[in-house]
Amino acid sequence: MKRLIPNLLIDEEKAIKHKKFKYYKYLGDPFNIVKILNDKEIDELIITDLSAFSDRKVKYITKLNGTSFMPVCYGGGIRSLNQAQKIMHAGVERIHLNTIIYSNPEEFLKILDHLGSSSIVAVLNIKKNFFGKYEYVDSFGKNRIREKIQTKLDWLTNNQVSEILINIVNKENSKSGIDREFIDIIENTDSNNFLINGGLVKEDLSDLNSFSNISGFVGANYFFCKGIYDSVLVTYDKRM
Amino acid sequence: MSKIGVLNYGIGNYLSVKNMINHIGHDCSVIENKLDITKFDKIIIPGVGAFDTAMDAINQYKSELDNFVERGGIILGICLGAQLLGMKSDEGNHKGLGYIDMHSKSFSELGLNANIGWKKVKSFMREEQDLMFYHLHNFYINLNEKIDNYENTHNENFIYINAVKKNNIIGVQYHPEKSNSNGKRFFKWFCEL
Repeated sequence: MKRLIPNLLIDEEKAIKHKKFKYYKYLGDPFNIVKILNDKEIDELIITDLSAFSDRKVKYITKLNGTSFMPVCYGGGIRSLNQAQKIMHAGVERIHLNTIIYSNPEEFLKILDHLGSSSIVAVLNIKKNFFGKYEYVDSFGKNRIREKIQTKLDWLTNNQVSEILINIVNKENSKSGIDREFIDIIENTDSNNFLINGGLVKEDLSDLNSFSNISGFVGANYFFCKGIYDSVLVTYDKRM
Repeated sequence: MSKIGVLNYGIGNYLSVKNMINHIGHDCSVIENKLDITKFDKIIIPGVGAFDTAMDAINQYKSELDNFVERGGIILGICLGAQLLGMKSDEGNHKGLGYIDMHSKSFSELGLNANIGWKKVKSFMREEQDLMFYHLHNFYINLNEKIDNYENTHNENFIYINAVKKNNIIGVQYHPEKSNSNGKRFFKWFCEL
């Protein structure tokens, strides 16, 4: 079954919303949002934590995840195997990794090896440049990583990463629909384990099942904000 | 009412298990001290991660768990916790708890991806219809003895064993504690066993 996955951004134990990678809106207490999402019986929750890694953060995630009756994939600021192990011991089902994939691929492979590939989601930020060409960019969505997207995807696939989350940077908070052009690229690869994030709108949902290499759509604005003023409202519609 | 405990051996999502059981109106304690194992009638072993790491962590409880099984206590292993109930896993070198003659094999050796997401399964609950549960595993159980089990299909063609039951030992490959209302139904069944 294909999945619809809200991506909850938290910073210093507050749920927030970003716009163009900068603070935009306070959404509420993550515990309250998790409780609402429990009631809505969502497929899975991605939590992206902006605050620096600490033992206090691990304790917080242990508690937050403990209140969740849906699968949780947690990430943000994980830079080493030791940190990844601590987060997994907090009980989350999976962790997602972004920066470490390009800044320290050896450590990334170590994490993959120790925690098992089903526990890891690799995140790639993809941006369309001025010339209309897709580029692999850093976790801030700014600087280009000097590696071809296809090379990175092949490397992740060869290392048996179980799922790859593609963040389309230009689509972030755009409410303009999932990037069909990039999906066409993905549909022509040999992997069938992609999650796509960026621009999700209601009209996209009915098409999700038609993409053979996409296992789910991820969104933030779509699930947490409503209307032209982006009023905070947690919603989840399972109908596709 | 039977006393239910979830083992916190440093691996796995013990809090969601405890909270979900509490949510459906049953008591569930977290077992941190191995000497407390004797106080319970049912013990849940959660698990996420790698086999050897989990066995390293759970081995300190092994003799108490062995005694618990011997006196007829009910054990439920979840996901990796289910695989620990077997003899070994291709994922690591350590021996398992050895309560069921089974060992875990890798999907990737068959050229298959990890089994991730929601799937309909039959379960020991004997529900009229199959229910959706959340799955997340790279390794599957391979049974070497004839016991109650349920099968499931991965990637629409490979049949693997999804749940096992040998007397009082139960293992499920899916995560009932993360399966919303179906998880609550599962734990209601387990609590009332």
